[in-house]
Amino acid sequence: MMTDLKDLDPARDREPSQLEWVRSTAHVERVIGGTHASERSSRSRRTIIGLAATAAAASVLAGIALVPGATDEAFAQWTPTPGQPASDLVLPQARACASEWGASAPAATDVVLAEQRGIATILILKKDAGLAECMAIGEEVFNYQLLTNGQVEPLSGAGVTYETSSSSGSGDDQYSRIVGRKGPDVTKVEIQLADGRVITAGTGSEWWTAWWPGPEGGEVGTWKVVVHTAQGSTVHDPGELRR
Amino acid sequence: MRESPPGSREDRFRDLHRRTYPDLLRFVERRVPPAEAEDVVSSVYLTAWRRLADVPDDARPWLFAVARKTMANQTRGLRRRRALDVRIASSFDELVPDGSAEVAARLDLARAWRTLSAADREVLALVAFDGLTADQAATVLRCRRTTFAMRLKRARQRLEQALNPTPGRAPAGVRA
Repeated sequence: MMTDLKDLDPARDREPSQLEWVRSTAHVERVIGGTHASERSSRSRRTIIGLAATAAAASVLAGIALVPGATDEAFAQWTPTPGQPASDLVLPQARACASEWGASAPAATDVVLAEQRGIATILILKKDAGLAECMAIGEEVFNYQLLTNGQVEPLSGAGVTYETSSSSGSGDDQYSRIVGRKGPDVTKVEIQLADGRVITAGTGSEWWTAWWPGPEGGEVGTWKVVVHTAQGSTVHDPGELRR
Repeated sequence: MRESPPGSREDRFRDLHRRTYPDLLRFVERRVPPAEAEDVVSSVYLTAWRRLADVPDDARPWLFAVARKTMANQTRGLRRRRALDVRIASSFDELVPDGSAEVAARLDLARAWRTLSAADREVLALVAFDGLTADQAATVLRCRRTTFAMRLKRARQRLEQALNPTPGRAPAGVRA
């Protein structure tokens, strides 16, 4: 009977993915280094100025730059649909990001994704054999996180995952960030918030990302992901896209 | 990864993580939706780091006990859902009778499982899903081995009864 019960096990063949190993190992390093932040689902956040505090689940956090007043300006200029500048136009931000992790100046071809909402730029950049996500306000790096330390098997078709979600800051300064991957058939990814706001994600290569003012990225049940393809749209709870 | 002396506290913690992460992730995902599991696991390792001196060589049961407490606090504090419970494979939700004995047996097993209390399911899952010995499972539930053995025996009996109800005897009902 106990042998039969194994059939019911919801995690019977479950093995952590490479990305999960990266995220968890990075968390362990942050814990050792004393730089871990609150857990994603927690509402209590550090009170470091504005966007400098991060609770990103994915990664090694480094290069924090405190910029008093930047949150207000970043929020004021935020747009629900991002601009997606050409890679060579974000080289100043890319250089700033690379210098944070001690790499030489990147080339435009190292920029996998670039999205801008007002004065805030999110880049996904090649870092060693993997990728890192970096957020800059103007040319000041606020934080960055390792997404993968090696090649990741591409998603096929209309496949979509989300790899990290977080909220940071406190009170009116809280903001959310999400990063995910997508297959080649996905034409657009949107974040649908419980209050009715819809945020279009920036996309590049097989990645998508978005940030917005508000705490939802650190919460459960207050946001959904809308996946668009040429065939139509589907709405997903984040849990469906977690792996 | 930062450099630290061999055998240091840091290295011991990293080794603990390497050895236990897959098992801990599975343990948590059996009890909360996958989207919530990562936070719980992260929280467990944070506790483990802070209390590394308390973590025994057989670390899994200790970590699982911390995870249970974390999940219980989370469900009470954040989402106010029903009590912590063990999930079953989603494939069983999609099973429909097809006339085969195999599918019928699987459906019976899932039905019987659902008649059990959350406490019975937890006791059975610790052994059948998580692969723990009675000693280890007792550590997770913070009870004596003999207490766990008794709970396991009764849970098995109730599952058996739900699978093969005896005529004239009250069926196993849902217990709190």
